[in-house]
Amino acid sequence: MSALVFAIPSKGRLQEQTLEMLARSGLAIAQDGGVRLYGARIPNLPEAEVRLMASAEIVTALRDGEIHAGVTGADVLSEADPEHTRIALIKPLGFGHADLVVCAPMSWLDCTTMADLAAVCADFHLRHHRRLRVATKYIALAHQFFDAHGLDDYRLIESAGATEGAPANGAAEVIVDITTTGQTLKDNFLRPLEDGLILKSEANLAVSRGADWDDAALSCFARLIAALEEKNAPNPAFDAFIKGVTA
Amino acid sequence: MTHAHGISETLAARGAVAIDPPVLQPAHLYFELAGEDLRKRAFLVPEADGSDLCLRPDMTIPVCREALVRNEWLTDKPFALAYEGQVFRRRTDATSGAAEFMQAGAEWFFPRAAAAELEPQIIAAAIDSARAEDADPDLKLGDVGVFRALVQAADLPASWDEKLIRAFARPGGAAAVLEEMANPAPAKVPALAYELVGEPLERAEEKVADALRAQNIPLTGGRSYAEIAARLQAQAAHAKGPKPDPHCVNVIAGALSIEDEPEQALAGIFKLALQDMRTPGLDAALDAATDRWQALRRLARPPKQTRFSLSLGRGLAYYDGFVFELEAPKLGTRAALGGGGRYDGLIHALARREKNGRNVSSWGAAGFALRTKRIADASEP
Repeated sequence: MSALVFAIPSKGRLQEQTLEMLARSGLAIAQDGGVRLYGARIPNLPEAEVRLMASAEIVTALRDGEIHAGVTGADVLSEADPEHTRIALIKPLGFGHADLVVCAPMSWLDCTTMADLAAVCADFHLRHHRRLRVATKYIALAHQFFDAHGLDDYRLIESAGATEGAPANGAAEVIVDITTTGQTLKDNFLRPLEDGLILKSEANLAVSRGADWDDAALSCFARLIAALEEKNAPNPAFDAFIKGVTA
Repeated sequence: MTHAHGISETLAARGAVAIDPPVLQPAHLYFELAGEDLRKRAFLVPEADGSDLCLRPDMTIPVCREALVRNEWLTDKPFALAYEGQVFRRRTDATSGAAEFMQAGAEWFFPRAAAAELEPQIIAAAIDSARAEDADPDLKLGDVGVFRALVQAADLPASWDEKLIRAFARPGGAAAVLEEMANPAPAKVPALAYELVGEPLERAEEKVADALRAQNIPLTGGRSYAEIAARLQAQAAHAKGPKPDPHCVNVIAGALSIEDEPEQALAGIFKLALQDMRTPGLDAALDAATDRWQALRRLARPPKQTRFSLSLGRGLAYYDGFVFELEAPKLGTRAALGGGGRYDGLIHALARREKNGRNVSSWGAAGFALRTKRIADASEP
């Protein structure tokens, strides 16, 4: 049995960049099963079992303690566990950058800040006899952010896909979504609010607090971290995590 | 499960009809009516069609939904519905208490003309219900109606009044807005807003439409040109207009900080307002609060301690009149035994939404809920 179960994205740009990073750190993955690998190993870290999983599955598995560690976006990790009680983010990896932002229709010339949005929410409720709807896949993060800005007169609508289309097709008035270049937002006549940045996300190495962290798992993960950190620089987040599990 | 017989008998004796509303309620209705804040506390249950139900996080909305399909509305007489049942709230931290607990209480529905007579009876019914279970709680009174009348009497410049009233239900919300009023941040207003000042709305609406067409921006997001134009005008008025009068800001802050026996508290608020904020609306609201307290003293033996505080809002945005809470200080962090208040706006909004909804605009609604386990724990040995 492997000492440590470590998950990486099973497809896309995030997978490519994760593999590149591991290779750069001397942790290249053995390519013995063809392109689409779902279980793999790292010859230089033989005690680790590498699982290739969809991003959403990595998040769930980390939250439930089914795997020790994984690589995926801080946005989905934080959405699943906003207070970071079950998943600890150990190291931002410098790729997979995206911003989670609150966006209003460009046609709302009167709405460029969160304070404007609060006033528009109240006005909208009064005029339309219903609350303004905010479409998002990031229900927990959106709620936390709106709460911190004193907004409560709105409704969150969970969007399954293509959130940016919601204001145009009448499913919602405002959205909270991920953007990288801003082009998709522009194409849909949406504009981020000036103070509407919820999270600057990037790929992160994260660990599950609930996984079985025995000595073998800890020492294997310590070697993984040491390889990833430039010149074996200390990682304070990892040290804090170790303290937590060994306390 | 032990039933709170004392409570149900007290409420039955006052003519409340016992009902048993469903545990599962449409989640969207709760979020629409009670606000997104409920989301972190509600247990959601997915339906096959992709919508969500929730385990009822309170009894008020389920009881109101049952009330709306009854025939009592066809008379012009008040009616009351009583209940006892479990409510479910997700624990947000270690101190939040049980995730499921029993509530017992009643909701009254009445033509507004009957309000003055009924309101003290409702508070008395809550006190007597607790006493029927051998508890003798302290009473906290508040009145969202007085707060709103005070804000209106302050005659604050454009949109500050709405902002303050909106912030009231949030813990610390009113204090934050008052602080902002005393030191307003420079407003950032689009240049177009200033061009709309003084224009009739139709003209302002055209200018907004022209500005958007010039940039090839379609109108999306469910608001009309007129709505956007009206708010731009309000923004410009807010930025150019006078700052809130510091004296009025102080009076409101002072009134919110008063916590005293009801006569003293209400007299204190009146004295503060006397300086130059007295309006017929405020006088009427303060009189109603005073009369309610005096009637309550005739209807029920006064609790050991009764305090009035204008800042009592119960953390729920739907209360729009009197509010009250029963407390047993000896229970420490579990001292809150329950409470209630008046919520005309909620029943009107619910009636608009339910398919079988009735026109209830000339009716009011009020009620209370008590936590039966805490009441039992608070009972005198």
